[in-house]
Amino acid sequence: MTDRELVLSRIRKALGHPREDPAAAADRRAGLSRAIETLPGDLVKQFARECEAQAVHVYSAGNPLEAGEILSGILSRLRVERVFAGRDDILEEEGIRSRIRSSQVVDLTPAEDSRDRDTLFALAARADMGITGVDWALADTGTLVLISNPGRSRSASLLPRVHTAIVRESRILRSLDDLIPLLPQGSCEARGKASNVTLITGPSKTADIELILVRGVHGPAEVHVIVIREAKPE
Amino acid sequence: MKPLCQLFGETSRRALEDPHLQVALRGLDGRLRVQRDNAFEELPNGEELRDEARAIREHTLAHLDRYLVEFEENFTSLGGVVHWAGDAAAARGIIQEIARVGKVKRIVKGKSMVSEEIGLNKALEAQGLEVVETDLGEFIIQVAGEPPSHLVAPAVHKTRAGITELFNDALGAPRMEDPEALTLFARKILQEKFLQADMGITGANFTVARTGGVVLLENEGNIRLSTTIPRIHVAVTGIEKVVPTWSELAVLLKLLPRSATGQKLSSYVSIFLGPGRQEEPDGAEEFHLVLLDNGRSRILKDPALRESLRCIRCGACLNTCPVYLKAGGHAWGWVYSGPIGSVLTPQLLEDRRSASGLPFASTLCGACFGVCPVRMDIPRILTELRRRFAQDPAWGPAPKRERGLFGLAGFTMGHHHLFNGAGEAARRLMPVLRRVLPLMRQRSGVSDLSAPSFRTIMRKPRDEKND
Repeated sequence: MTDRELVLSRIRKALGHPREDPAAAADRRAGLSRAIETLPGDLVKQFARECEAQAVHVYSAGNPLEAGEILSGILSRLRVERVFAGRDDILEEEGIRSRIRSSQVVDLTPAEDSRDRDTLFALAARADMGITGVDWALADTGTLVLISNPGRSRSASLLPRVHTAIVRESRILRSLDDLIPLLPQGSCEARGKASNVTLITGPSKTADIELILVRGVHGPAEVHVIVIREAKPE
Repeated sequence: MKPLCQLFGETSRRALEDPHLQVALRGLDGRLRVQRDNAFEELPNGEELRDEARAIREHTLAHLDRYLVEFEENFTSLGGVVHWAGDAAAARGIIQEIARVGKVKRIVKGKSMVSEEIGLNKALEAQGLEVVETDLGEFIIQVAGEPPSHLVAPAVHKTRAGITELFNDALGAPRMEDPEALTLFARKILQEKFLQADMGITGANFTVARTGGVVLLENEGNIRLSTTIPRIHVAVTGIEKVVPTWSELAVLLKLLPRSATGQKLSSYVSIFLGPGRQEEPDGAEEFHLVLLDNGRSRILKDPALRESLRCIRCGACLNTCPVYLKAGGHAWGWVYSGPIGSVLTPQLLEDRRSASGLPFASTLCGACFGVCPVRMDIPRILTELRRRFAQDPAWGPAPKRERGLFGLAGFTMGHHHLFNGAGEAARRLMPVLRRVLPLMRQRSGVSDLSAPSFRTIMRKPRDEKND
């Protein structure tokens, strides 16, 4: 008997159905009510408040151009020398990429056709700041949602000491519950798509020594978020 | 790790006499509990969520085989490999083999209680592999050569002075005493390890049946590094960690960080849907998941104890337990400590008798039940385990002397003349007993039996009246 058969037969015996579970798949949510927290008010405000509670720095920009200006302000204030930026769509928006280029910083992002992992990690580890877009943000927890894609390396939000994320207002969701329907619902849907969804809430931290909070233990010690407020359609 | 928790009294006495440990535990006392309570106060429907979490865990356990098979199917179709392990030895063998086939030399690990449970590090090191714990707390205790003492904060028993000494001794670090400096020192060492590693080993907080997703929570980023940089990712987890869909996951995600540390969400929640895709720049190329039974199906079979498997390892019961906050985690003698350790250890170990002391390491005050996010009735389970160790032949009978004494006590209490007579005799013999029995000498304050008994006092006025 393989360990698979062994474990499954033990479980089935324990549950009193010697073969397969006879219950229909439809009962999976039986008796489970959904509990959704409704929180009224401006999502951007709430998102900013929650970010700040996590010691995340939040900036508001009226358009991509302004976001570029804010970014270059952060770069010079923190005396950033090397950045690691992915090929996020939002960075290609008017004003943002060009601001990075004109900001006297070295862009360590590897070339598009580079497949060498070791080089990628070494570059990301040398960068002072990683710059990314986000796929979504969650207002009620101040969370950034980054879904892996060919242009965005996971290292950008992880290895440099500072992470700066650019968030469009329209991508801010109310809470985790609103993110659920936007994720792949089954493996068929997920196949060939992103392999990783990362929810980032505040900087890297630990309290492993005497429960004293220390930021930046393995990941970024500082997180900056630039929100681009857009004119709402209609 | 050798289980040695038959005599909790002995191990806990050693803990009580350790001044450093008592200082460290005083730091923990109340803090995480308060943070947890504040986080729940902010939640408008916290109690409802706990009911729901309990229902989700019960439902999943009742259909465990179906959800595991569904998970396996979906995880496999995403390009991952599922390995089933009946016991700890099988799990160790599977991971050793993955490392051998993958020509692995250096391994970085995220915090995983299951890997501690199966004694994984030793097995891999015996194979000539370098294994480095990368969670700061786990790194500290690995350097110290000690087991973890808390589910969430494994080095909580150590003071900064102790860690300074340790880093100076073992790693040649300057004496810094400052938590931030110590942390940054460890960060530097560990970043090198990440960049060189070819395998990352983690646990898994949840597996999601419908999508084949694997979910990991952390605050440090070491789990993200362990799963982003090395070529191979191995996650090892218990069979009970599966949830049906994202919706159930969302409920548990709201409760786990709040219960553990009072956070609304951990710094990083990583959801993996198979290994990194070819076109993605990073992430593991191979993704293995080891599903461990190791006694869990035995718990599932037992209706009175099944709810033990609801646990999501938040550690809230430790942070509120008066016994844990004095004795510290090591007194439990094995991987799992505190109230949940007393529940799981006697059930998971093959030799249950060796953990027979643990269900008694509790005042049954119920504080753990009050904070458990999945509403596990820990005091009830502990009482049931006590009963079994005392009476159930399958759990090994209690020691002969204990059975004899309790039999005698039971008989005496069942016959009131005998009981009254014995009480009277004890009162008269008190001065002698106090000299002869060491126990009486130690605890003289609580055993002043020479005063007249309650019955005597109550009887007097009526007797006088009748006269």
